Amino acid sequence: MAQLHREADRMRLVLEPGEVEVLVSLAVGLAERLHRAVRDDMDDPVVSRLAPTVSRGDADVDAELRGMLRGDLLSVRAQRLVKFADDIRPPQAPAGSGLDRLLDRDAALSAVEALNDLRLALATTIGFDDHLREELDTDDPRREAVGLMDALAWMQGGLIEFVDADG
Amino acid sequence: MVWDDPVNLMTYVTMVLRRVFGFSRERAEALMLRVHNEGRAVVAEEPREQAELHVAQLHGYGLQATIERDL
Repeated sequence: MAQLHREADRMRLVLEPGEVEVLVSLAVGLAERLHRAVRDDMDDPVVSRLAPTVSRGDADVDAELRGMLRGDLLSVRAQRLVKFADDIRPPQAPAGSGLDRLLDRDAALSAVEALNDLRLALATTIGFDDHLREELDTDDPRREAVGLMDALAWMQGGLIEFVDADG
Repeated sequence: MVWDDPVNLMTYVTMVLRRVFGFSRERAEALMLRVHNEGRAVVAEEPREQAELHVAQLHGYGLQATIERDL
């Protein structure tokens, strides 16, 4: 199970090999999806959530500004997801490796942002809202995604405490 | 305007408001709670160019933020 330990001005992140695999798979898959969305100028619900509406009150302003922002927003996201994947499974790491890494605040912030993107994409995919947990039957396949979102939220929350600490 | 969503952690929204606008922790937490409790909150009233920059930054962090005129 993932572990976070504060060590002076660093945060130690420890991940099991299976956790690394899941995170890398999610991050690379989402990055590819965003690259395709930019290349093909195609939206889907996940892409729309990650490059959202700019104005709800003025359709012309929304079209103009979203058109200006969308490409860069998705490309930068895709790049940081690829970097996140490389950070938790460096190219030189043997297959099936876990992770034991000390993060400074900048590295922790990058991880916080990538984890947020992954959680937003998962949530959009399963139609997560404030009531979904109560509606899920025990055999509903979305339970797995909700469990994964919770695990990512635990990791993200620990890193936020470190990144956003005063002083 | 920042809109509530069921995914972004409350601590994350607070962190983002602090980083983007330079708010104190107290002010950022108060705005985050207004978003959470009321569904949305005006976090800044400013000229359009500045608002566009801030919305772009907030979107980069994954918040649902919009520019609204004459609120």
